[in-house]
Amino acid sequence: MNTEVNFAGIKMKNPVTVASGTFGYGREYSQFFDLSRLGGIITKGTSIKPRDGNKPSRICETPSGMLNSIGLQNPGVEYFLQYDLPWLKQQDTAVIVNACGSTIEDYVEVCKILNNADIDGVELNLSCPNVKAGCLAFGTTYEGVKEVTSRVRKVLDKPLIVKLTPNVTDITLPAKAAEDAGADGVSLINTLLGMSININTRKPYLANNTGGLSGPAVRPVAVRMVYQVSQAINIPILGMGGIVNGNDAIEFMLAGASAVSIGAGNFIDPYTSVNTVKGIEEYMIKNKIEDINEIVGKVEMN
Amino acid sequence: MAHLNLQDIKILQFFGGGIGVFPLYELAKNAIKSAKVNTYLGFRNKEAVLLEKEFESVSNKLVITTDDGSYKIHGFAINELKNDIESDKIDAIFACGPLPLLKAVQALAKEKNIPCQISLEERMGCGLGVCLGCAVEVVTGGYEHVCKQGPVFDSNKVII
Repeated sequence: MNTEVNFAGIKMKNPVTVASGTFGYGREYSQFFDLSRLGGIITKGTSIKPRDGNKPSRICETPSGMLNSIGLQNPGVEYFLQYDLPWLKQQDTAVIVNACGSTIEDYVEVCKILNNADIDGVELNLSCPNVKAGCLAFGTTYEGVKEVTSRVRKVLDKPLIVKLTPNVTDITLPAKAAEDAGADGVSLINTLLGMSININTRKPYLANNTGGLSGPAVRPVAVRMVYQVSQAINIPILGMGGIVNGNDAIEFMLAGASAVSIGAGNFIDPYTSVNTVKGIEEYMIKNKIEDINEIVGKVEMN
Repeated sequence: MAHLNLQDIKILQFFGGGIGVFPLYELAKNAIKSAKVNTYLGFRNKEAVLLEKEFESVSNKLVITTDDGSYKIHGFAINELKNDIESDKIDAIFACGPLPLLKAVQALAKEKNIPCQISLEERMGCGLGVCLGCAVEVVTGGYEHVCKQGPVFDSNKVII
């Protein structure tokens, strides 16, 4: 039985990764399980300079999910390279760094630095809904995604994955832009913009008023978008959005994802990611699947 | 954070509201062994009063207030503490309860220059220091997190 995948040029022992912003730089979860059991780790969104993040409250629970507005709090790329990467490299799992910025120059600078780092790939965060300048602004149009991705592609030789926002009318357009600009893969979906109001104070729960919705609540939206994108582009898809077990992961792979990410699921149970690996293997045994790559895009539409 | 050493403290104030009285009780049980403990507890009404007997056994002085006056002293516990703080020489204050209460204690401790620790609450995603959801602003700039660096903070350190 083979669970190994080659996603966008990144060799992984299984298709399960953990989504940016839900796993830090890995240390906290290593007290629960051996990180080498994961296909890969996608780091917290990392910028050229440290970022403090947004004012609290930053999160709130919603039906089958959660809203967050963290605001990309992170210690900056230099700190990551000095203090977190050396440790992360010893964990025997693929390391993909989520790179974020406020301007095109920010993205280019951070990727220039990452190009010389001992990492397996970069996920370009063009879709964080909680940062006013940049991010979502670049991620919502064909032109925006193409411009940033092209500029980054010029300075980055490593595998480049572009993370797409679902907060658009037609997600295949930014997906196509990423492909046209030379990205090796796309990841989707980032969070859906949402809002939740405390009826007693009449104020939104989040200090930022709005935030990104994630968790099982968004899964059908994510599956639909992965399917749509898989029909529109030829580069591989990292699928995510409410995956909490092996069956959910298989659903995304049938829809067209070559690999998957666990996000909010890590908060429900710290073992969700490794249990997803086990669940995929159980599905393979039960359905006599020799190679996990066989099922990618094998949904049979009605 | 550097935790206060209970052994060095002679007189402690415990200050709690509502469900916040529970963690204070465990602390008071230890503190009474070596220090004088004054406890101030505030509740919404008579039905909401918690752990009165338990606190009696671990306090040299116990003051209970209710917002509606349905039990013991009518009003907010912070006002009783303000009255007593002039006469009692207090070495440290520990507080746990709703945010308005913590803000009042924080201001009082600062004004009287008394070391004070407050236990904060913020909604958490992971509880591990990963999601960075439970942020609390610190006076030195930026944020710390209730789940990892807290929940108990030096009251002079945080902006609440």
